[in-house]
Amino acid sequence: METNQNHLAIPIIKIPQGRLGMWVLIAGELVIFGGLICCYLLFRIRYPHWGAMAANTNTFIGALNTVVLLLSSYTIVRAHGAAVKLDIAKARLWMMCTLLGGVMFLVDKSIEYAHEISEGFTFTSPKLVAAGDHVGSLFWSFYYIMTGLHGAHVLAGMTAIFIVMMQIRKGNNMHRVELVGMYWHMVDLIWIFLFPLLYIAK
Amino acid sequence: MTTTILKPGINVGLEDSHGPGNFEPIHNSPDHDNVVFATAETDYHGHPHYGRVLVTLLLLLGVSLTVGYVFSPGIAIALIFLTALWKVVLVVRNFMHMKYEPLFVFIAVAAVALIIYAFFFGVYPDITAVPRDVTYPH
Repeated sequence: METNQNHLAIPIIKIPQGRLGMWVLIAGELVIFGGLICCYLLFRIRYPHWGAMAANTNTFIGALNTVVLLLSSYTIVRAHGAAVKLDIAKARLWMMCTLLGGVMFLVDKSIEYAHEISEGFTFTSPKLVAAGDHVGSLFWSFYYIMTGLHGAHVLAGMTAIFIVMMQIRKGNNMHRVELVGMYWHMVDLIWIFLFPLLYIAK
Repeated sequence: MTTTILKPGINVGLEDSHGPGNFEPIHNSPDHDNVVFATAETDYHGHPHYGRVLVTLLLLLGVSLTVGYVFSPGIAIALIFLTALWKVVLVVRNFMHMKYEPLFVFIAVAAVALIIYAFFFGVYPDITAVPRDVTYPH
């Protein structure tokens, strides 16, 4: 025990393995989304017509989802703060708020998808193709891949948060609150880029 | 040096916990020397003012939504992406606590940005060199 206390007495300069692992995972995820975003940007530069397609996305829902994700990023750091102070009840409450944010994001996204699909903007957009607008159809393929992949990450993050929320009930594995938080922030980061690309820059 | 459980009920090893109230070290192997666990006493990093960061993020979102109405499209898009970059920096530094990490973590993440940058210009000719009309092969 004494050895351990000595260990704690020296300044902590090394990174916890959990955090290091999360950074590696995040770096990998950023490469995936970065590649997609690069391709989107290149096609957007090549085909300015995509600006007109982007005008069909719902900026209000996009902005609302941005606010929801930013707020949920805040709630998960508060959960981490509470976990460090060993306040299990508060940590679980903040995590619950984060989950609520995730649910709200997915509901908004579903409403948006339903509207776009009803307008004929689907993954292959046969209506546009029939009209000879292959470039426009390509925009929607990118749109659904990028937002769909992001939505899958939101779902994965929510699942991880829920599992950790269950694990910390008895005070076990409290450090994992921060780790799932880091993943959730990554989901937020990606949306920060997707939002201007798909919703604002028209 | 070894790692240990620092508080009763807070079992924070690499492996699954052994239950609350366990004061025994989980790992005694020298292989785990670089494992450092955070508790209230030995928090791995500091905590910035999260509320202030959130307000700044929301203000930046407001800016990115309004610039389109004020400036010409070219300037507006540049400003929109500048605010997006600013938001990313705020989230990474404060919410993900990058500013408390060792330099090598920053370098690892910055390397990703470099890879993406290289990818962009590597793929650029492939996309810009194709014919302007996109049609399905018959």
